[in-house]
Amino acid sequence: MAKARSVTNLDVQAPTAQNAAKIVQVRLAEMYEWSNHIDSPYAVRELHNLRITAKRLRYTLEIFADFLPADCKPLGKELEQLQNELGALHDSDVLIALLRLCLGSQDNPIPDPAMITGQKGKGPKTKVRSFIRPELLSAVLDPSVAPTAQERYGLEQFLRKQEQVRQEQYQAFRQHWYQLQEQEFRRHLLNLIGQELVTA
Amino acid sequence: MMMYEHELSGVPLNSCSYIIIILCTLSQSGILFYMFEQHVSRNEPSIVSFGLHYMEETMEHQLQMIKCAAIDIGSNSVELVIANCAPDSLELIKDDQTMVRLGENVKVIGEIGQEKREALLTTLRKYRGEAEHEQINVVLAVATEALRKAQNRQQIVDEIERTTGIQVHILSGIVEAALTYHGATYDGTELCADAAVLDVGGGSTELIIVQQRHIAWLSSLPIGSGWLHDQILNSDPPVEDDIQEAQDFLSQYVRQLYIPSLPQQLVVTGSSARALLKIARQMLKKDEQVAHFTRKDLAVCLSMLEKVRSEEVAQRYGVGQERAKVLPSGALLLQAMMEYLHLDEVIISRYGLREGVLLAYARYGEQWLEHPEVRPDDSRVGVAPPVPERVSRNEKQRETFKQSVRNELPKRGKKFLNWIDDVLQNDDIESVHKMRVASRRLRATMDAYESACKAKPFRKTYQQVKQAANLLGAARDTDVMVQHIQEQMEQIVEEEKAGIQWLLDHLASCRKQQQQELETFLVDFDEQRFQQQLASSIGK
Repeated sequence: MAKARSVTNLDVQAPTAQNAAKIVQVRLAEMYEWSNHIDSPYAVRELHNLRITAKRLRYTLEIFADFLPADCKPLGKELEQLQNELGALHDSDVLIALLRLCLGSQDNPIPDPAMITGQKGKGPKTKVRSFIRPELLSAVLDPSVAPTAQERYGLEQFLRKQEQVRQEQYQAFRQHWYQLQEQEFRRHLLNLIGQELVTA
Repeated sequence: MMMYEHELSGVPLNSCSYIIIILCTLSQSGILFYMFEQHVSRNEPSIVSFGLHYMEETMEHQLQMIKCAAIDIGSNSVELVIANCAPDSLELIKDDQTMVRLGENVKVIGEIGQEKREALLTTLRKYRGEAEHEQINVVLAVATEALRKAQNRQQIVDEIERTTGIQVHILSGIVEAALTYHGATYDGTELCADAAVLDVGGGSTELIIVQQRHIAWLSSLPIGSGWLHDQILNSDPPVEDDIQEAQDFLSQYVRQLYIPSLPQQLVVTGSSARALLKIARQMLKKDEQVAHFTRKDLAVCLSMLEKVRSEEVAQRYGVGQERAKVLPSGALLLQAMMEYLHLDEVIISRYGLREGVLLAYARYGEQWLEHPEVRPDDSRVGVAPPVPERVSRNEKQRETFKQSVRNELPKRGKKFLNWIDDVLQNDDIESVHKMRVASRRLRATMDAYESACKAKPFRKTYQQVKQAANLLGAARDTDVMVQHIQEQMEQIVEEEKAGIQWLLDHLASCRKQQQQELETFLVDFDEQRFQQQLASSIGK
């Protein structure tokens, strides 16, 4: 997961507004670090990290709202929308992966969910960490409660529909992202807080 | 003339009789009648019934009505109503409103500025013209919170009288509340004996508790939709953090009210409430006649208002843009009051202060403002809790980073801890969501202020928040997935439903396990120690 970077050049005795601007500058750079994955619809982890960094930037704008120019507020709203779009996309990714694993595992049973989640468990360790929570996997991969043929049919149809939904969600997000770039979102925010562009 | 059928029933008539009805006395609201039975064989008729008959829409009744105009100069809007008025009825002829937002000026500069003064005078001149067009001599103008608070109120009132000839009465909050009660309830439909009336205004909110159809308690609270908008919810659309702050403020504020009894019913008036009803009718495709407004309706409106800019709200639902700007505040105020009064549903009244003014004039004449029904005695007046002063933006700007961490971190920590009991109660999945959001905000605050904190206690606290956030996140993600699947269920054909139900059943058992883990963590969570750790992170 995209961890927050420590902001090192702060002066605790200086006005909060001055420090807030520097923190926003770093959080903005963190978000744009993931922007080169925008055109990769299935860069699931990277898009999820983009969402986390967008959320952190938005919260930073909210926390320091009293110290930053009032015009920053609408930009926070744009970030909220972006975060919601990426959130819906991530929820679909988890659901799709879960359905695929669930349907696939009935044909080829998975001996231990930890093999998929990368959590410490009885099974062999793997370097790949899944974005699906282990308890979720355990709940649907239990071979003793496998779906019947009729249930499998319903799950397969649902998976197909969900894949379609996911495509639409990705297009909506991508369109919004490029709209923001056309409006020079990054430059606009940096101008408002009086900071220069930095790359993370 | 229409007579009520039941009044003629129960009169046994002989087959050889016929009825003579003599209308004797014309009163303001009915006719005294005598009913005689004349037997064909007798010379003298005998009285079988007499009484007072009320009539509907008689010419005589209309002659008793006075045509008046009432103008309400509020903090958000200036509103006009023209009606034929009788003590117990109104026939509305014209209704108009203009958003001037006088309250906005008063909040910033403490008085009504030149621009707003011009806008107010223009509006009043227009209304004066409309009254003249209707050949009205009686124009009753009242002003509320914005003028009550404006330092230059007398100057404004004098100028209005000089330029338009309209005499403005600046009402006290209590008189405003009493008049609103009379206006909002005058038609009496569906109103039970122990009810309450709430007027969500721009600069103030009036709450009136009614027992046995009489005012038992009333108060004027110095908070309104325009006030809340200017204080907290001033971005368009409002940001989540501001919404949370407004909700926290309102819930704490209304808790300080001491009302004599909880009402069984709440009648809500005010233009914001009416606009919310209008939006709910459109969004939920409700009948135009429906005046009931539920918590669900409110949630639907709020969820839209949190996302959509005022300009678009105005276009989509046919409300003025200036009104649309203050609607999130009006909705949150109404939500706080419904929660405080334990009500799931309210009735939105079409009437309010202006109609109350007209009725008071029709009932009590020239001394309408002095009557005890309009000016209740002090024993019925409830104390309005004071509104805490907000630290001004200029003062905030001077705060050092070290000073602001002392304010921010404990505040965010408290908000996070506040949700523990609700999550443990496990009544509403929204509590998990709210606590998760609070945990994320706390983490983001800690990330931001890390350099102003002591490393060791900071790391310990941070780990605890992170652990809570993970458990809350797991539960919330499952809730969202279940909600999403349930929404899809409605569009799924029958033969596919078994599979979806299989998935839902397994997710439900997973969610149960997640709740248990979360509860185990929260039961063991030492709130006091956590707050101490947070405080020691900040240092002296």
